[in-house]
Amino acid sequence: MLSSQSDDPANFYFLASWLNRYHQDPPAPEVCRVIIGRAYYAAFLAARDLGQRKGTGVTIHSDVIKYYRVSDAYISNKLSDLKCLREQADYELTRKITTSDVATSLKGCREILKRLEVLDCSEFYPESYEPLNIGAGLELVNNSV
Amino acid sequence: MLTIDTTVPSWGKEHQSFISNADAPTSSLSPSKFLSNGIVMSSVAAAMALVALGLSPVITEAPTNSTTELARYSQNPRSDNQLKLANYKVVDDQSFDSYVNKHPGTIIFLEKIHPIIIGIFDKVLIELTSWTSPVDEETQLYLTVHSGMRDEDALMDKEIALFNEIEGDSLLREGLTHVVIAIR
Repeated sequence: MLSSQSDDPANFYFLASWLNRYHQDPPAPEVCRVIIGRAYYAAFLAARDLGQRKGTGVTIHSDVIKYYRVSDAYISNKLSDLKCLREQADYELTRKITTSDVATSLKGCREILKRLEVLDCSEFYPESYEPLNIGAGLELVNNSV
Repeated sequence: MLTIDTTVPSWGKEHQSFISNADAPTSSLSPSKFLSNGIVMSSVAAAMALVALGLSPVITEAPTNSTTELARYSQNPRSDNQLKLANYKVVDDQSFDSYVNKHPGTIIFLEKIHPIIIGIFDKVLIELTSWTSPVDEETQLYLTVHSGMRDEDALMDKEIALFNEIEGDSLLREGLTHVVIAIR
């Protein structure tokens, strides 16, 4: 369930949800690409870690997907879907990334985390979640100009 | 060219006679000419059939980057569960042929999964797209179901229903080795 530990993969999901909510609507393309990437890694790392706790030793992306193909076809397929979106977002810069891609990634990640019992589905991120001190950052930039 | 068994499975026989002047099945087929449920036709024949049915073939955009749109088909809900070709476009026959020659089980998977998807999602557009990962250079076929649904919970219910069907069928489970299902 929900954890505030810094090594919790769900934190990547919280960050992705937070970026999606607090950026301009729609988020800038580069923000969309970051959201999609963080959503995939939250799901992948949670799936990998659970697999490792079960003694599978799987570490690389394709092996994690193969492992879940046997134990949970839904998770395996969803990871493949999110992986594709992530690689398109990170490597294919000429490809148009849509807000629909962002929504698909966040939803897919949320469903995987819920299915792995890493996350309560109702949580987009904790109320107190504030990963970036944007105000302080802007102040720093203004002072340096 | 891929040689496949053209015996129509019992669950596909009711659709066998659809578009009677389509290319007759032979023992040697180009996989891209194979649509679903025993329907075998070339893209030209498909376009002609669409015109005869009063439908216009949809011309889709050219492929971008490593993505190739391969085929589109959906069910006409007015036809008493008979499969109707609503729109169809093969942009890159070679890409699809090459993919299916490497993974011949894909054809059977596509044939089997189609009525299940239609049964769960009703009138939907289904897209097939091949995509090669720039990271591990593995090519997979992406079957995208364009549900048009906005209600996430309702969509999730249908998605779970689809995967329950897949989980209960070893052939479909095996098919997920090479086909990724994307519900949108």
